[in-house]
Amino acid sequence: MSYLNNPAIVMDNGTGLTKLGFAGNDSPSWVFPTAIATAQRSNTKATGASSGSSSIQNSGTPYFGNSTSATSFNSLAASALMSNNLAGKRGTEDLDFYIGNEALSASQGPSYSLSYPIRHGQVENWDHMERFWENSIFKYLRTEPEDHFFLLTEPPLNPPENREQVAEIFFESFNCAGLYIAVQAVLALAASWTSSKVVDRSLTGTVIDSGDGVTHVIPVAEGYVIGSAIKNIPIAGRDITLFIQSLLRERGEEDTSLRTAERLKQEYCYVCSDIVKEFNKFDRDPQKFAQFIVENTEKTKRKVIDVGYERFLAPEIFFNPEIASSDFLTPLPTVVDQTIQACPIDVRKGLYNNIVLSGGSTMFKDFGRRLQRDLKGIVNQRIALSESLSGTRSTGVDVQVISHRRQRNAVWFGGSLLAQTAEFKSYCHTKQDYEEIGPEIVRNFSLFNMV
Amino acid sequence: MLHLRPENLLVQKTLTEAWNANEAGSPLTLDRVISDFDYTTLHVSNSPDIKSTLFLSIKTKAWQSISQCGNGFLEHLESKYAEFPGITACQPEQGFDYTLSVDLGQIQPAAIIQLSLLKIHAMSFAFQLAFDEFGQLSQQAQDPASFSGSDSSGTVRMLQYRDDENIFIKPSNDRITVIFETFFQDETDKVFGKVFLQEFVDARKRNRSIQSAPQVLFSHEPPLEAAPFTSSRKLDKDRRFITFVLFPRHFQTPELQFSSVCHLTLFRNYFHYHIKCSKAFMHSRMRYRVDTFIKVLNRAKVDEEDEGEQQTRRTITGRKLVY
Repeated sequence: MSYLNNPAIVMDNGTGLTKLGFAGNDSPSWVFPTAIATAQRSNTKATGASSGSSSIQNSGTPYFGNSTSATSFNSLAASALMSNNLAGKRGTEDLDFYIGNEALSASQGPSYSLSYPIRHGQVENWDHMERFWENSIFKYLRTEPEDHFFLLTEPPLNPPENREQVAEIFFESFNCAGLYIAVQAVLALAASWTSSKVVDRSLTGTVIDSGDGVTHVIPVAEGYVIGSAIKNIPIAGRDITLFIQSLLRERGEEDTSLRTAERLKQEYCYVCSDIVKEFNKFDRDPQKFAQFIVENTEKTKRKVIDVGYERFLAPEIFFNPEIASSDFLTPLPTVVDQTIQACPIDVRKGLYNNIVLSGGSTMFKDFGRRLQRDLKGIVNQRIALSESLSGTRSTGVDVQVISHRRQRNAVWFGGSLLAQTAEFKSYCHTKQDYEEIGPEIVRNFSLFNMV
Repeated sequence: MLHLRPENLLVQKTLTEAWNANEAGSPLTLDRVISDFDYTTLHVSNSPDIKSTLFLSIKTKAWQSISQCGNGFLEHLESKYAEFPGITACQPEQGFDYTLSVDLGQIQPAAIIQLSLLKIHAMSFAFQLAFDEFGQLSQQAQDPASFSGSDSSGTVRMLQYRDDENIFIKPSNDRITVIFETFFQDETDKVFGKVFLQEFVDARKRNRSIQSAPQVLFSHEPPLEAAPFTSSRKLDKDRRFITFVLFPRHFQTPELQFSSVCHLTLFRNYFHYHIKCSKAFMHSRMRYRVDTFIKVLNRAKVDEEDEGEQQTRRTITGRKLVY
């Protein structure tokens, strides 16, 4: 059983980015878009009717030639195409695809079409996902799945049928040694244990997960997600970038591309404590205005872009959404408060006490501090009201927002942390279990108790 | 997609990142575990004293059997990296078989590629010995004075690269025979594997353009070349043996030798990768079929409205009303 010594593989397939790596590492080995570029048509099912196998196989290495198969399948496929659809499938076009960054560059050409197999956190196209996994395991991670345990992640409220599908693919296609499917929010909580503020390693807390497309507020009580109380906010990384872009355009800057806006967001933005004061500070002290230089790829032309109020205005749309959107107006602290109030009363204190940030859009400087201050304001107001109504003293609620260094890939890091423990393998379902019981085995995973 | 690259992409990426960061003046702090096929683990870490020096350690299942193949294994590995400044072998890290220390200040991008081929270079030692021995044997065969008449054949070397799977390499005076012993844990894989292996054998007969490829044989019994190792073992029904016969044209030049070694060492991984790919393909066909069947079923459903109407057009005794 020498596979017991191999490091477990942690895979976090998100809507936008996929994070792959080995347990025990401090950051994912590969981070690339969850994109797949397939030959000719996005739909594999339609390839039976397409023109046989494509001859585009890029392998530029001198020692690996171009021949895809020894037998001349190409001519065979073309001739059999008319008579029988199945025989026409004997080409190798099902292997002609790219994933990740390679997919993005391949889709620039005419012969590939790009698709994203995950929508809103859930797998939409299983055919594409299966091939995405197969390539990420063999090509990028270079592992034999039979020798490794896998930790996969799933969004909260993922239907159990999807879990079963994942199990079928991993156990039947890949014969993986063992599988554990964890909820992303729980892993994000586990990742926060690295912060010095966390004293007890509990799995109770509120996770604010803000990626590129959407922001979730997810309450977790002792490792279980309180599904009925989850709230979504349609403001996330992409909206901030677009807001910066619109500000740049209004001012008539030289370069207003999305790329520039994104780099400004990552390098210059921070959260301020008070907008009015911050505006005054900027007006008094021109030092605050930064300049950002865009060079084109040949480094021949330079464009200078002024960076002004957007430095603090952009992240402000979490706290004052009305400055950017007209249809969603509830600030983030209020949403967090509403979420926790929708939870059972016994766990609310724990949820207020442990608010964990996760995802790239929570990386702004002082984001956590501002959230904590605003939320404290809301909570204290409510306590003061109830005290004046009932006339008794409240014991008070402690609000604590935890930000830590691993926030960007918090979910992956939490997975890596859990999967490197000695007990991890005993929590996994193994191939033997799967064959004994069937796919429904993955409907239940026992939680880690890591104390 | 069809081929697996010989170099480990992750090692390449990690080292390139570290190199770039070092060039930019801010060396990275690294402590990464990287895995490769067949129970191989690599570890990239900083030297405790100097940040710009990295240690690349390897631990692989095949290590022990490779070092038993002949003398000069470590010298062979060192010679692979001798031409690159900044790479030196050092005391193996605890729990690993071999450690290279890499001075980021001195290495060039070409060296990074060679570092990512560390596992292939280690495996290539057994093959290199076979190539050398082939040279001697063919010399003897050409020289009639020393030719003994019987088939002069060299020693069989065994690489134990997985728990129950081995590679046997045997040089003779006109060819080198490489035998893969395979074993499938999964029933489905067994069937797929059989089809694949048969295809390897048949492809050469069917297609004239690949006549220069090595001959492939496939059998259930251990071939005679591997007899020194397998004769003492109990015969196992689930084992398969794939034999590649390499002729001098496959290893005449160092480039050809390298390419042959890459192909051979990755053969098992390639083979299993493609079994998995075909399964994925079958699954996508099955999903498609189920979809079409569901469509047919949906078409056969009776509309609920019609049924409702039928219900109302009955008399109180249950007889239908006919207009």
